[in-house]
Amino acid sequence: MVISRRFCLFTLMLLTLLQGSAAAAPADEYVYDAIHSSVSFKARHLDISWIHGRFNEVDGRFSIDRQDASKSSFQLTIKADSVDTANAARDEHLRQPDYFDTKQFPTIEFRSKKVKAIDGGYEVTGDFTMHGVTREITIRLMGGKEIESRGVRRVGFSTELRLKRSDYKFDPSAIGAIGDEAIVIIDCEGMSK
Amino acid sequence: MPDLWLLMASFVASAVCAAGACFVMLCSGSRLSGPAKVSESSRAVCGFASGVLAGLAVQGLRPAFPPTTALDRWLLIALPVLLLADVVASNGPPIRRSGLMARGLAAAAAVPIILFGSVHLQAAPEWSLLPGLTSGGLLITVCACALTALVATLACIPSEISAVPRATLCVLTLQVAGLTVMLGGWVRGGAMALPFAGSCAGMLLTGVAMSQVTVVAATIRWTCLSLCGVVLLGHFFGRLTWLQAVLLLFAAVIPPLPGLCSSRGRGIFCSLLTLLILAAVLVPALTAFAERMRPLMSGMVLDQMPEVIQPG
Repeated sequence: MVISRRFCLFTLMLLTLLQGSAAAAPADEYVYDAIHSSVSFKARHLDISWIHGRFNEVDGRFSIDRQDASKSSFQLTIKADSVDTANAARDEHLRQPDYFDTKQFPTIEFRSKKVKAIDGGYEVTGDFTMHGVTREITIRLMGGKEIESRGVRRVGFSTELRLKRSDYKFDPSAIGAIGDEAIVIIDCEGMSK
Repeated sequence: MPDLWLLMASFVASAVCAAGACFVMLCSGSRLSGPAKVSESSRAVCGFASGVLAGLAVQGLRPAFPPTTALDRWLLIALPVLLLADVVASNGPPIRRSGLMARGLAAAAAVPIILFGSVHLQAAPEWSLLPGLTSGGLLITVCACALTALVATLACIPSEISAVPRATLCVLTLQVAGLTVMLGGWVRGGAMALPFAGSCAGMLLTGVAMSQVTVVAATIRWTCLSLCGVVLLGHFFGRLTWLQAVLLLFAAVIPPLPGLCSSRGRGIFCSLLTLLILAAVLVPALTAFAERMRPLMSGMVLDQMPEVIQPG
């Protein structure tokens, strides 16, 4: 009986210690893997079809706390100049002040402010800055599964968000043939050693 | 693609509005005397401003406040400051030192106002020609010096009725600058030049009709100031090259330069030279535009598949 009580006490202490060490463990830090990730978008053309494009230069950092999701953070910086719609003339026009105005607003950024664990991923609320306008948005980052490949730990997320260009003070005269709403698709991998 | 009818409408609206407002202001101002009397160009600035506002309204261009883009900062801060300095300077005796200083300060301030917050002022902090002088600082210094020199030169324009052809050439240069910026891909930036050109044309008509030589001289100055704005914006935020920018400014400055085109023979030579420079800017820009747009033109795509759709 005494042994059993001692065993229970020992187990309780061990569990407490383990829990304590887990809580103190720092969150996992990841950097955006540009090779295996993409930030693409599509917008309506004449309201009959979709034009697709992507941003070729993206940088980001994630910090994921598996125990306490609210301590996680996500940052993504997109170089607006790297817009690519598979047509050089259109890309050049998109870079100019009629659209992204990349000389004035060189980056598109997302900085998380609040992270909540949901079934199959995270619900992330943060500031999205585009064309000099910052708005708070909430995205559902699905994924988060971690694997180790060749000594590198990898985690992947996917999300899709709908943005209205008019909300970000794009030139209203440039909204017409190309629809106001753009769907942004982010598929990204983070790497950590 | 720009709506050509809308662009023409904005030009006509600004010309009519500027001419009308200028006429009213000049007529009302001529009845004043003593301390209330102000120079004709000071009164004409109201006509110019109303013409520009009318043209921008036709285009649906409303500057945003607070001004975050270069175009907004040009329209809301830099241009009003330049015009105010010109009006203040034109109320004193010609080429008075304080007037010149006001014009120079306004011109020097215009460049950092336009470039504020842009990548041009954030680039390569480690690069430095002189200790403490970054690439952004050097850029501002060079552009501000050039603009100040231009404004000082424009202040020396003599008020004479023979300056009408020169003023017309300046207005034409402004239109070509706007068109070149548009062809480079920035539609709104180039279209913005047309209300300015229209207002200057309207002012010029009123100045000629009322034989107001100071208004003709003011038209040249304000056309050149507007051109500076279009060229700076087009180069730093659009795709106007250094060569195009320099040629356009050169084309605008040649005709009004005192002494250079004074005689009839020289005047014809200057006009031809200006037209030649404008053609040298416009023709390659048009060619490059046509080349770039070819893949986007739906007609070209359809031409490549004539057998696909056959009736019957």
